Order: sequence, then C-alpha cells, then structure tokens
Amino acid sequence: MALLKNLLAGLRGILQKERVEREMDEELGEFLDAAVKEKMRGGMSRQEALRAARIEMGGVEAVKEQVRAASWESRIETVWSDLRFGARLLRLNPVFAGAAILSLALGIGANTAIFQLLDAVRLRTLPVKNAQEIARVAIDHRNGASGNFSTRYPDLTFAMWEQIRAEQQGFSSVFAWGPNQFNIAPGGEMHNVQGLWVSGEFFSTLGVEPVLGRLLSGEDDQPGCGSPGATISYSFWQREYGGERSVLGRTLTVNRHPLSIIGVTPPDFYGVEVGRYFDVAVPVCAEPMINGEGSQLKSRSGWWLSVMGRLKPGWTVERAGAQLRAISPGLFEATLPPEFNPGNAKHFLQYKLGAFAADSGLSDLRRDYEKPLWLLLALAGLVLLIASANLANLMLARASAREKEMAMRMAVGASRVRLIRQLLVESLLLAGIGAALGALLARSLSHALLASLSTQHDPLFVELGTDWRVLGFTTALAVLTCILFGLAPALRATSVAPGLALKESGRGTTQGRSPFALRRVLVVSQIGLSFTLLVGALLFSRSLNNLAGLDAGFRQSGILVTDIDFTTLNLANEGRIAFANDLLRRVRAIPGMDAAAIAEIVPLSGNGINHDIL
Amino acid sequence: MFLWIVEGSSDFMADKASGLVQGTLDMLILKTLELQPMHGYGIAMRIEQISKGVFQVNPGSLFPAFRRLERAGWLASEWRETENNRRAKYYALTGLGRKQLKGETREWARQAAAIARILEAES
Repeated sequence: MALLKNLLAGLRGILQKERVEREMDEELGEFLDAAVKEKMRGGMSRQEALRAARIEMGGVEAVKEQVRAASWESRIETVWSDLRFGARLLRLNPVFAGAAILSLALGIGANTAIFQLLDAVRLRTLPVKNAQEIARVAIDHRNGASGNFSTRYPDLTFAMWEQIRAEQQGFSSVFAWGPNQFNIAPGGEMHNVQGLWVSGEFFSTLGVEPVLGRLLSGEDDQPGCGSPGATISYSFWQREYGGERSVLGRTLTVNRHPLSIIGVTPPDFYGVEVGRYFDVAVPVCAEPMINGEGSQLKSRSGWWLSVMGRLKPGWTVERAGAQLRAISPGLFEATLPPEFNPGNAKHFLQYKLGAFAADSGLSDLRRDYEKPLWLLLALAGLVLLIASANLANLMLARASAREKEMAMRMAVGASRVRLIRQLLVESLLLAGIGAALGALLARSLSHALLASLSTQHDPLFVELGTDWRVLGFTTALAVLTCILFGLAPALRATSVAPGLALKESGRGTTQGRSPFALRRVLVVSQIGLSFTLLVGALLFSRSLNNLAGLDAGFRQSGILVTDIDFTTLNLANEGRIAFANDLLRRVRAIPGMDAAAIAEIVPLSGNGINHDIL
Repeated sequence: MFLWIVEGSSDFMADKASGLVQGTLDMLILKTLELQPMHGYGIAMRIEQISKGVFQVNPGSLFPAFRRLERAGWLASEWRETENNRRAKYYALTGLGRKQLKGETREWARQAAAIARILEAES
C-alpha cells in the first residue's frame, strides 16, 4: 500500500513536474515569510529579519535539491539528464567519441567472441533434459591397450558394452554410441555425411522427442537386424529433403545399403558431442551389414563404442563408478580377446571401469582448444586493458580541459559525489555503445574463429547462440572498462579546489599539484602491456612460421590425395592387389602425372594403426 | 542496537550541528503533528520551543523529511488558509503515521532506558 503510494507520488513527480516544483517553491516561500514575520515580531527591522531568515535557511536551491533527493524519481531524472548531457558532449566531440567507441567495440567484441566459443564448448550443458544425470562409462587409465581403434571415442568394444548393459546398477539406462562417416550416395562419387552408431537406448535415455515420425528404440536395435530404420537430424532433413513430411519411409543408402527413414530429431539436438553434429543415426546392430568384412561388432579387439548413461535417482557418479569397478574383473575376463598374448591379456584383465560426469557432453574440440581459448581470452583481455588505459588517458586530458566547468559547478553547490556520478554516466554511455557494437561484432568474429578451425573433411558445428552468460559477460566487460577508464579521471577532475581553479584562469590546477603522475602511470603500464603482447605475438608468429616451413621429408607441392572406395566391386581378396596395380598404372598414364602410389595411411593425415606383435 | 540510528539517510548529516541524534527527526515531526495538522514553519518552531532551543531544525533537513514521510504514507498534506489569510501546506498524521509514531516511541523509550542503565551502572 505504502509502496504503491510512493510509486504513484513518484510518477506524479515525473509527470507533473512543474506543478510539484511550484508547490515546493510556494511552500519554501511561505516558510521564509513566516520566519521573517516571527523575527520582526522579535524587534528586528524587515531588512535584518529577511537577512537572518535567509542565513538560517541556507540556499533555497540547496534545500530544494535536498528535498528532490529524498524521492526515488529524482535519481532517474538525474541519470537521464546526465545521459542526455553526456550524449550532447559526445556529439560535440565526434572524433573523440568515434575513437573511444571504436576501440572499445573492438576490445569488447574480441573478448565476447572468444567467450562465446568458450561458453559453447565448455560451459553449456548438453541440450537434453536433466543433463547433470548423464555420465560416461569408460576404462580408467587404459594403457597398453591393443586392437583396432576406430571412431573418435574408441572407449570400449561391443562385447564390453553388452556386459555393461547387463550388469551395471547405477544407471536407470545406458546406451552405446560412436561417431562415423557414412557415404550416402547410391552410386558414383562418394557423398559423406556425419553419422552416428547408436544403441536402441540412445534417444530414450537422453529424453529426446522426435519432431517427425519416431526415433530409434530397442526394437530397432536387435542383434542381426536385417535392414533397420534410420533417424535423421533436423538440419539434414531441411538440407537434403527441404523439410518435407513425406521423408518418412523414404530410402537412404548408407555405404550402398538401403535403410528407411523413420523419424527426425528436434532442431537443437546435435548428439552428445559438443562441437560436432550428426546427419544420420543408425542402430549399432546394422554395423556388420554396413561395414561388411571390416565390421568391428564381432571382433573382441575392435574398440569403437562409447557408453553413457543416466544415473538412477539417488546415485552419484562416484557410487556408480564404484559399482562398475566392482564388476570389472568378471567383465574383462568375459570379454578378453582370444588372440591376445599373455602380456596383453595381463594388462587387459587389470582394467577397471569408471563413471565420469558428462553433463556437458564429450568434445575433442574442447580437449584440443579449451586451453588455447582461455589463453586467447587472456590476450584479448590484455588488449582491452590497453584500450581502457588509452581511453583513460584521453578522459584525463578532457578532465583537465573541463576543470573550470567542474570548479564552477562545485562553487554553486554541486556535491563531489554528484559530479563523479555524472562523469561516470558519461563513461558508461561510451562503454555501453562500445559494448553494443562489440556484441554485434562478436557474432561475426566468433563465426570466423570457428570457421578457421573447421575443414571440409572435418566439419565442426558449435551452437553460437547469445545466452545469458554471454550477455552477462559483455555487460560486465562494459561496466568494468567504464570503471577502469572513467573512475580515475572522474576522481581527478573533481578533486579541485573551486576557488583555486577559478582564480588560475585557464591554466588549470592539475599541473600545479601532482604533475601528470596518473597519466605517467597509465602511459607506462600501456607501454608495458603493449610490449608483452608484441613480444608474445612475434614469438607466436615465428613458431607458426617455423611450423609452416617445417621440412616434412618430402616435396609438398603438387600432391593430390584421393580416397577411393571400391567395396562395391565386391572383389575377392586376391583380386584387390591386381585391381590397385591396374588403377595405379592408369593413373600414371594421365598426362601431367609424375608419380602415383597407394597408401593405407596418408603421411601427416593424423591417422595411425597400432598392434602389439610380441 | 544502534542499527536504526545508522540507517538514517545521509540527509541527516546536516543535523549534526543542531545536536539531533540521527534518525530522530522523523519521530519528532510525527510527535509534533499528533495533536493537530501544522505547516512547516509551525512544526519547526514547535520543536524548537518544546526542546527549549536545544534542537534547531533547519529547512534543509525538515523539508526532505516531509517529502520522505509523505512518501512513506505517514503524513498527508493539503493546502489551507493560515490564520493570517495566506495559503500554506499543512501536514497531518495518517493512521499509518500514528502507528509508526507509537512504535518509534516505544523503541526509543526502550533504548533510552537501556542506555541510562548502562551509564548509571557502577563500574
């Protein structure tokens, strides 16, 4: 009730400002009048009484200012008028304003862009319900492992997955998955898309609902499934099928094997791997059919799956991990690859499973780039610091130019706090505009940054939305820079003795007291920071140059690499060498071709194979 | 225990000279208006008279206090003719203001008694 009254009275103060002011004038006049009368009754002359009453009252304007300060709407009014005053000053000084805003926009933009990326790969949780319940099941400290490792997360073999599914207790459900590239061209040139192997529990455990049709479930993932269905992602649906609803039941060829499309996942679901996306999800049971003789499913030394699960209510990651550790001896006994030699087997049987928090998913992008991104953020922060110091210097120069203005205002009764507040509002205006521009800039900067990491062969996808964290970060930056570059000059500008400043017409007093001490500190720190950055940048570009000029041991120019898939020819083992040799002979015959060779693993491609032979 | 004294806004700083304990001006104004509505000068005079000149309230704190008390809903105001046919703004206590006065008086008495006990205690 009282609050409402206060609010209404405040609104009246804003809307009927003139009337409220007039009433206040009248009331104060009445007060003065009464005081004069009282004093005259005491025997003073009118002149004396008026003088005495005025002295008692103090300045009428000061009293009015105090009355205004007692109500909330005056705060808004002063901030608003400060903002308008600040904007006017900036317009009067477009070069200063432009330079300040531009440097702030660049500084804040760079910081925001990097933070946006960090936010996306590090801070955000998976876009599934109750992501904090999701944990990853993997072998703790797996060393000396042997076998065939494929996919980006070769945590476990299929045999282990079956055992884990049967014997784990800490999860309400678990699922296995593995990323892969699928060739979806029915014939001719390959058309690779991002694929996922998923077990039947994948979508239900994550709590993903289809936007169309149905998602893969336990029924689709039965051992020895013949021609199962496939689920496609929303972006793939839009891209390849134009979002048509008739896509359900259509045939999709995956590595020359027809699968029918049964459903579409929602737009914000990209899988459990941050920094990647998927186009097609296929049940794990279809792997033998799709991979043919290269199938890993039956092989006990084929590492290609990653297992995750949703914790049961009341179970922690630690407790689930302890249960997994407890079942480990039996589990590894049962899944021991028969071809292992005693040495490998000894290692293998000592493996222990563990559970690891995975609320923000898995990410090789995070693993590879998190530290560089933090470093980059620190560097961008330094740049912003330099920009702030530079701006503080400019503001200081302005402050000494405005010294007389400040002195005058203090002389007529403005409080120092009031003046500092006004100067800070001016700085905040600059910082606000800079931050807004910076936020716009950040959008394209972060996309450019991401594009520089992504290649056609290895596409990345990061949801670079602007969420509350990014907004908060940018706002905090704006406030911080405002304080950095605005506070010291404001304190400085208002620490003048009005009389002194006004007397020393034109010369200003900053020179008189501590000659440029603050500005010297600013310049020195600016130079120091700039040098640090410069040296760092030079070292970095030198290293980059060294890397680019590294002698790889072979001539790097004029090399063309092609991936050739001839599985559809269904060649028998012995025919393949002959086919390859024939292919090479024909390639060498092409005019302009110097030499040609076939390799299992192309040098410097980052791929490798590792088998213990002892 | 001194919390409510410290809480008073910075406007009360001006009262240091008049020797008024910070935060008590509100209470004195409410008390003065308990009997009848009065205008600003009347209130100031009355406080000065009753305190036998110990408290001299200057307009710089009086008028902001009016504005604040009015906003809190403890005072109501209206323009009225004075005894010598002039217009003046009269302040009156509202029901809420009466309740506030009662509470503040009680609290003040409690604290004053406590302070007196401490000062009179034999060390």
